[in-house]
Amino acid sequence: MDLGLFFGRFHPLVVHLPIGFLLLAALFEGASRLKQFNQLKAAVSWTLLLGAISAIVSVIFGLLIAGDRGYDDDVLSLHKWFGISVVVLSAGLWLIEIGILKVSSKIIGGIFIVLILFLSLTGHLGGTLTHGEGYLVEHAPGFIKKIAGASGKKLAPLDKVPGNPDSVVVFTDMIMPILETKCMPCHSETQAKGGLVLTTYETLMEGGDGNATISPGKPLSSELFRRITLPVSHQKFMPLKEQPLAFTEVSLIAWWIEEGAKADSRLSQSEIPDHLSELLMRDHKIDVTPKPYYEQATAPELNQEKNQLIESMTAFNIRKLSAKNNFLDVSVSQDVKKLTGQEVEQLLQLKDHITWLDLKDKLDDPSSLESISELSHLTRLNLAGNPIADDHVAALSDLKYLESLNLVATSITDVGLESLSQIASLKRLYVWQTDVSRDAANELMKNKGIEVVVGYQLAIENN
Amino acid sequence: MCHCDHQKSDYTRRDFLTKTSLGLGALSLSSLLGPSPVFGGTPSINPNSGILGQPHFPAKAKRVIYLFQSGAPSHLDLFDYKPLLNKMNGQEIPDSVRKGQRLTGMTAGQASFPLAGSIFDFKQYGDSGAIMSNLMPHTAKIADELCFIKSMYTEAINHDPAITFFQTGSQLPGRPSIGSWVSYGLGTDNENLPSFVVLVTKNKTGQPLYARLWGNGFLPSEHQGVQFRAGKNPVLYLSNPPGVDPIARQQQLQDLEKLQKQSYDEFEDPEIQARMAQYEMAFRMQTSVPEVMDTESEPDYIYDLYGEDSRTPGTFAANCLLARRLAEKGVKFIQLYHQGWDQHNNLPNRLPRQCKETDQASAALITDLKQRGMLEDTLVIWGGEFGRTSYSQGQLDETFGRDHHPNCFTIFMAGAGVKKGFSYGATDDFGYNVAENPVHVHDFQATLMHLLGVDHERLTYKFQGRRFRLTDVHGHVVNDILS
Repeated sequence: MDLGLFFGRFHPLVVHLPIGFLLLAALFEGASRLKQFNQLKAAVSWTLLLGAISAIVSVIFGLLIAGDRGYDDDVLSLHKWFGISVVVLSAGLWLIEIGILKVSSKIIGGIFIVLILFLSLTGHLGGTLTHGEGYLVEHAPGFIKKIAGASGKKLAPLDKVPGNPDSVVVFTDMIMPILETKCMPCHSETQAKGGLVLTTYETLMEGGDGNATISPGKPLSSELFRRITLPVSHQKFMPLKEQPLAFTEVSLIAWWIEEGAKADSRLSQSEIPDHLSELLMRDHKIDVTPKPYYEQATAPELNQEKNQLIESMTAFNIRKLSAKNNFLDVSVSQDVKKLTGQEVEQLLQLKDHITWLDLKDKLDDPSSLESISELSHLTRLNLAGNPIADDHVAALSDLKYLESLNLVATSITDVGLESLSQIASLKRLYVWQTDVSRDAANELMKNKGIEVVVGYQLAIENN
Repeated sequence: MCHCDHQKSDYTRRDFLTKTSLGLGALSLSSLLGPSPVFGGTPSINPNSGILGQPHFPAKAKRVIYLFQSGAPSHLDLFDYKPLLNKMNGQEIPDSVRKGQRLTGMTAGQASFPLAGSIFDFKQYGDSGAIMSNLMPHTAKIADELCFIKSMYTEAINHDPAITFFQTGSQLPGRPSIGSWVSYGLGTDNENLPSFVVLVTKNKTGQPLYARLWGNGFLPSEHQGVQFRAGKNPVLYLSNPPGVDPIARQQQLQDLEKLQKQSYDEFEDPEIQARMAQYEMAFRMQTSVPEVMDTESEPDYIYDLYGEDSRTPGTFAANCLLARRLAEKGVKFIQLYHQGWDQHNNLPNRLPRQCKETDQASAALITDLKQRGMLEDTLVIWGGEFGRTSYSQGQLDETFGRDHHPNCFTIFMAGAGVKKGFSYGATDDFGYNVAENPVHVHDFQATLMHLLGVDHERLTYKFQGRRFRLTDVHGHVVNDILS
C-alpha cells in the first residue's frame, strides 16, 4: 500500500475545483466593475480563498503522483511550476482582496489575467501528461491543427525502414529504431537505468545489472524480451514511460533473438516466418518476400563501349530490365532465322549483364551451349525448339543463379534431367514435348522442389 | 511576316514537346519499306521500346492477354459461393444490406427484391481449395494456377460507362484504353505486328462494343488497338486491291512517303508521323498477319485442348488460340471480347450456354501458355465490367435473372507476377457488398501496369493543358496479390 500514490491519484479529480473557483473569481471581479453587478465584489475574496485552498490541495496531490511512472519529464516540470505559480498568484490575490496587501485596481485586473493564463496552461499541460501530445487537436479541422503545430500521426519506428529488403540489416535498421524510441529515453549513456545502455550492439549484449539482457537463440530467457512481454500492470513491465511495444515489434524482436541475435544479418538472407512477414507487410508495408536474383544483385554500369557493342549486335533485341537495373533482357531479332556461332559468341561480351535470354528456335549448333553456360548471371533461359540433347545440358549446371529453364521440344530425356537437378537455384523447368517421363519429373519436384512442367499431352496419356 | 507562313510560326511549346516525344517515330521512318534494320542502338534509344525507353522497374509480365467478358458474368453463380442466399431464397433482401443502393432503370420500379440463391453446385477445387460452380469444369481443373479477386468494385452501373471505365479509366469516352497506354509506354516486341491487338467473338449479340474501347484517345494514333477479324481479311483494307502487285504497291508507298515527308516538313503535325508509322506497319503486316492468323499448322491435340469450337474461326475458342499465337509473336497487349453475359432474365438457361462457349478455351489458353513456359512472363485476365445482384430481377421463378451490380464482383488472373492458387478479398454473406480488401477498378489498373513494370503515376500524357494517366488521380497497387 502506498498512501502517497493513493491520494496522488485523486489529483486529476481535485484539479477541477481550483479551475472552477478561480475562473469564477475572475468572472466576479470582472463583472463587479460594472455598475449593476458591483455587489458581486463581496464574493470575490471568498471565491479566491476557496480557489487558493483547492489549488494548494491539488498541488500537494500532484506532487504525490509525480513519482508515479511514465510521465514526460519536461512537460511534468512545466506543469508543476505553473501549478505552483497558480497557488502563489491566487493566494496573493486573496491577500489583496481582504486588504492585507494594497495595490491599485488596475494591477489587480492584470494579476487576474496572468492567473487565468497560467491556470489554462497548467490544465493543458496536465491534459498532455495524461492523454499524450496532440490529444486536444487530434480531431480538429486541418487549419487548426496547422496553427497548433500538431504533426498528425506519429511514425512508428518500423515505418522508417528502407523499402528495399536487400539492404536492410535486421539489427541496425529494424531492432535499433525500436530500442531508440521505446527504451533509450531511460537506457542511454546519460541515464543508464539499471546499468543498462542500449545505444550500441555491444552494450546491449553486455546487458545491465541483472540477468542476461539477450541470450541468443532463447527469447524467453532474455531479460529484455521478458520485460516487454510481462502483463502491462506488472511492476517490472517495460517500457515505463513510452507506449508498450506493438505486437509486430515484439514478434520481430523474438524472431531476431531466436535467430541468434546477430549484429549484421541481413533481411534478405534470413528466412522470415510467414506470420512475421505478414505482420510487417500489414503494419509497415515492408515487403520481405524473397526477390529474384536480378533484383538483389547489381549489374555494372553500361558504359559507352558496351552501348556501342549493343548497337552493333543486330541479331539481337537487347533491353535493360528497367531504368535503374543494368541487367539485360536479350532475345533474337524476328528476322534472324538461325544464329551463327559467331553471333552467340558475341553474347559473352555482355556476360556480366545478361540475365534473361530467349533463344527459342534460333540455335543451330547445340555446342553453343558451352558459351551460354558462361553467362553466369542468367536467371531465365529459353532454349525451346533447339536441337539440344542430354549431353549438351550438362554445361548448364555452371549457371548458379538460373531460376527458369525452358527445354520444350528438345531431345532431352530423364538422363539430362539428372544433370539439371544439380542447379541448386533452379525453380521452374519446362519439358513439354520431350522424352522426359512424368515419373522423373515428379521425382525432381519432390526431391528438389523444382516445378517441372511436362504439359497437357502427357496428362492425357496418364488418364 | 508573310501571312502564308503563319502555320510555321504557330509552333507552340506544346507542339514542340509533343513532337520531340514523337521524334522516335521519325527514327523509324528511315526504315520505311526498306529491309527492316534492327534498331540496335543503346537500349535507351530503342525506338521500339516506347516513350519510357525501359520499364520503371523490372517487369513481371512482358505481355497481357485480357479475356474481357462483356455484359458482366454473375459472380454469384460462378465464383462467389453464398450459402445464405440459398437459405434465404425468396425472402426480401434486408435494407441493412442494400442500404438504399442506386438501382438501374430496369429494377428501380420493382416492388419486391427477393433474394435469389444460386441454382448451381459449388465445390472446392485443387490444392488451393478454390470454390467454383459446376458451370466451369475446365477452369476448375486449373484452379491452382488462378488468382481470384473477389472484392472488385466499380462506380458505374450501366454497361457502357462501366466497360469504358474498365478499359480507359474514365466513364466518359475519349481516354486511351489500357492497351494503348501500354503500347505508348512500352512499345513493341515485334515491329511487324501492332503492339495492341483486339479479337472480338463473331456473331454474338448483347451489349454493343465500340472501337473506342480500344481507341488511342489523345495518344498518337499508332497506339490504337488493331482489330483482327475472322475470315479472309483479318485486318480490313490490308491486302492489295485486285490487280495491284506488291512491287507497284511498294513504289506507291515510297512516293506517298515523300509527299508526307514534305507535308510534315511544312506543317510539322505529329499526326502525319503517326499516319506514316501506320502505313509502314500496314505494309509489314501484309506478310506477318496472314502468317499469324493461319492456324492450319496447329496440331489436332491443340484443337482438342481448346475445344471443338476452336476450329471455327471467330469463336471465342479460336480467338484464344490466336491470342496464344500473337503472344508467341511478341504482341504486348491482346484483348479479347466475348459478349452476352448480361443475364437479366432466364439466367438458369443462358448462363450455362455462355460458360460453355468460354470455359474450355479460357482454361486451355492458360494450360497451353504454361506448358510452353510462357506463363512465366504472360499475364492472363478474365472478367467483366461489374457483378450481378443477389436478388432477382422481376419474379423469382425458373427463368429469373439478375440486374447489374457495381458493389462487388469477381475477376481472376493467372501467370506472370501474381500469386497462384490464391484468392483475395471477400464479399458479405449476401454477395452484395465488399466485406474485406476492396479493389477498385483503378487499383486493378494500377496493379496491371505495375506487373508490366510501369509506375501508373509516372506514365502520363499532356493533353489540353493537363497531364493525364490511365488511373487519373487514383489507384493503388494491390501488393498482396503479387507473387
